[in-house]
Amino acid sequence: MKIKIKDFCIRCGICVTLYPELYDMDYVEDMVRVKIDEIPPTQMEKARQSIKDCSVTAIYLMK
Amino acid sequence: MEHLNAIEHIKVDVAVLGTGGAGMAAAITAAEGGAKVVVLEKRPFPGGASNTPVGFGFVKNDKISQNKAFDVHMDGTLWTANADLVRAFVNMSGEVPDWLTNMGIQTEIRNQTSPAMFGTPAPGSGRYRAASDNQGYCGLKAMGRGHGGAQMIKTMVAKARTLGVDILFSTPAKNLLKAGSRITGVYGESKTGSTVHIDAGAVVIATAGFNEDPEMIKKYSGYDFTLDRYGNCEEGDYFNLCPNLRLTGDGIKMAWEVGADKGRIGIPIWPHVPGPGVIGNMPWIMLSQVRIIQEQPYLWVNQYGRRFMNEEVIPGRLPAGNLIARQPGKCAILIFDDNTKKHLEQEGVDKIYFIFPAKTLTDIEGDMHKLIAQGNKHVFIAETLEDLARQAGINPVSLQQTVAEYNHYCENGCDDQYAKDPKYLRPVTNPKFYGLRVFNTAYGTSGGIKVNGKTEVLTTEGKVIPGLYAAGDIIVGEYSGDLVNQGLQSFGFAITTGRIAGNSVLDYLKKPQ
Repeated sequence: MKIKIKDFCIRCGICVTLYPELYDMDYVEDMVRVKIDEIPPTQMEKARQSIKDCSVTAIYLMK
Repeated sequence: MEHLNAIEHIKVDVAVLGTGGAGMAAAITAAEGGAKVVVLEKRPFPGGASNTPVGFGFVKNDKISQNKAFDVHMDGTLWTANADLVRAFVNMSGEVPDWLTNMGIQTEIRNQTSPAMFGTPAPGSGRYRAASDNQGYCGLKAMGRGHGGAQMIKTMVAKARTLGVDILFSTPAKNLLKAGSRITGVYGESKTGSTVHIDAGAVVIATAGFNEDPEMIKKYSGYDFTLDRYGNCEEGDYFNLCPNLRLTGDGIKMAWEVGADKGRIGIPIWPHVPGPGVIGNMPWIMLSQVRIIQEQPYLWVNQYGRRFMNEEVIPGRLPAGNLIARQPGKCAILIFDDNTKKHLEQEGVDKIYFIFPAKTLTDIEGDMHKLIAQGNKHVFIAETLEDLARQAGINPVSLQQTVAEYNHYCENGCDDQYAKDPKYLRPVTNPKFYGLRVFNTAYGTSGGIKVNGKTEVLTTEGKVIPGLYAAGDIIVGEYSGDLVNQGLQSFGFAITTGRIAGNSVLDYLKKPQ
């Protein structure tokens, strides 16, 4: 499973603040980046929680 | 002016600049009336500062409420507000909650007098003065950790698209097109740097404020500006609360270029503890309980170590901001002792802030230590008052004097200086002593373009510029009058004036040109 971010992400940075191990703010490209490729089982719970915490439900999981 | 590199040519009835509450309301209203609409958005995502609010105030939809709200508002601004615009707002705003609900936005009318729903009522603020039985508050349902505004904008964008509205992201508007005195379109710049030439029957500017334009901030507030996204402030600085939005007054400058009058311009300043660990990339993210402590009406002093207000005005925020702006170094320090810290942790807060409605706090000292470890220069913990004064750069002798006087008022249960309610008189006696330094910031700015009651933009001679309309924060100066630094009604005003602009544009397009 991979984390994906839809283009209507408002760059509020909630995911970056709460889950710095999963997300990063790219100030040059002006977007949020996912730091990992395949989600390791140890991070799965955090990844799922980050979907719930997103303000605009822009985060989703893809196989 | 002809742009030679124009590669994209669009012809529409209405061009709307900005996708916040005002821009989306104008675009949807115009599209519902049958107009072909394009919306230009500078950022790659919609909403701007409208992603931030949790809800908005409105005037109830009956004649008695409308007349009372009009009267209270005009009286409160000493008739310095534009009466026609105030009337238009008052008459239209009551329809907005239903209009949004019908669009599929989840709204909830909240009781403003319930502290559980609306926090502790704020005294001394123009915004709340009129909030009596003629007004309502419409909460917006939020998702995740965000605020309701973000959900509202998301739904509005979807609605606009179903109506055939074209939204161009990462495409800032650059210049307005003019034929004679009439506005006939706008030039935008696409992601790739090419020009988008838009011929439009009318243009609605809804590009909000100039939070991030150092020259304008200096000119209209006297503040020096720091671009530091962590809000690392030095004395006299202003920090930008929404570093994510690139609000540089674009629409205001474009309107000025075609002869629009400036009207009133101000900055509704809000006090905040700056620095890492307190505020995130968007101001709704509460990273620390400090955000709630700074709402409490305990002892506040300036850098001379002197009190300067009845601290009960703090939940009003805007009056508190204006007071702090007049202190040396344009900052203030909130001081409390161990007893008050325990009071906050065990008995609970004295003032509930409805945006972050925590009632009791936990491990305040640990939270403050965390901020200090992150390099925050505005959070202080000390064993003695002298040390607190030294850390915070306050004159220690004068601070001792102020605290002695203040403790005396606490003992007598009577604030002989500023008449604070005795229940908030909490002495500063028991170590440790805690301090938070507060600076001013802003969620948005007010005004910049003068309009009439139909939101038609006016020239310095008071003539209408045909085809040019403005809505939202950039015209709130006309609604606030001399209270332009008070940020009256900004979100409800944005959506409502967007609706008004949309309707005015439809009327204008029907007329033979």
